[in-house]
Amino acid sequence: MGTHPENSVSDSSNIAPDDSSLRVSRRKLLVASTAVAAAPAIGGALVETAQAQQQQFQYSTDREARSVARALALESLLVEKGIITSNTVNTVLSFFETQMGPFNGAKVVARAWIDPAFKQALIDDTPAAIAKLDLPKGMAGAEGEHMRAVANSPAVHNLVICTLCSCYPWPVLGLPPYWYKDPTFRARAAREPRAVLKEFGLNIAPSVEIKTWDSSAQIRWFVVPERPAGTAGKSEAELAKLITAEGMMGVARV
Amino acid sequence: MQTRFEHFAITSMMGSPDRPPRADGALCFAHEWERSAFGVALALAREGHFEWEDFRQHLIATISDWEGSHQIDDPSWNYYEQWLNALEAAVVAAGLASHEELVTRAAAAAEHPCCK
Repeated sequence: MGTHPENSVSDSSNIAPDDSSLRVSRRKLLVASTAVAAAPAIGGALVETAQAQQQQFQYSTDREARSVARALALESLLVEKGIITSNTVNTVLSFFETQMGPFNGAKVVARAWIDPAFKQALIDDTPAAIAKLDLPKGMAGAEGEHMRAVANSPAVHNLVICTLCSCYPWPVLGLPPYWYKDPTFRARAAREPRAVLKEFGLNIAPSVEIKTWDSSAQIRWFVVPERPAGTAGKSEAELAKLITAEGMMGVARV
Repeated sequence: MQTRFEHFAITSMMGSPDRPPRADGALCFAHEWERSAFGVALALAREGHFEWEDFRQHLIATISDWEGSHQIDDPSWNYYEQWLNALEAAVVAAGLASHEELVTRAAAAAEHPCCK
């Protein structure tokens, strides 16, 4: 279901609840993202002997090498033919690697952690504060222009929800996880945020108030999580690496 | 809002069986060849050599073939292998290179020290 904890990390089950075949394939994506192919796929039978394991290792190594060769061949052939340039490919990749992840939001939050004045400015006027940081062009424009930050504190935990992914502050957080668009998640998060957060593995003490912010076409909210304990000696760049998209949506601690 | 092709292309896959794996909201690649295959596919579609939707149909078909011929929990699944299959099919279908050219070049590349 949309609020299962594993999805908050892997975003790996983007499926309708009634489609079990797709659910399986999403799990495989999780496997694929964390491990190199580990066994041959002949009939699905794994014979647990040293010899078989050796063959499996050989098989996956060969398979990996073949993929490397094919990818290299394809790119070099297309470049040689003048169809693409290495630069085109790099431009595409750098977009994903520098602009489409939660990197920008992480930089904003890291600055807020080390600079209380910036944090206050961020809460007071989010776009103006973000505009002062050296972030890629477009961060403050487009969908970023209506962004509002809310800060967690020992007394308040903030959670951001929205029905439509179009209301997601993607310049800050990267692409939204699928469950964010899930109507069930939104409805339940509005009605019983504490229970939903618990399903995400986040237990909020009864004494802490939970505020739920519904992003809309007018305002896209994001959360400034609390700085974790034991990070006093870390630099701004090191702190930025700790910050996740989930943390900035209020469904995880940092 | 202004939409970059790259953003549109990947967003269009959300909620579909062909969507790429992610970690913490970001795309993740286990190996450099996966990253390269990803970049080449997007670059080709961005430059108009084939429609993104056509590439996706190849990808959906290769994933479906794999799922039809393997156990559902087969741990040897690799998303970007299917991506590479789909990319080769899309490149051949668009007339950018022939199947033979790809095979010959891949065989030569396999002899390269970096592929050993």
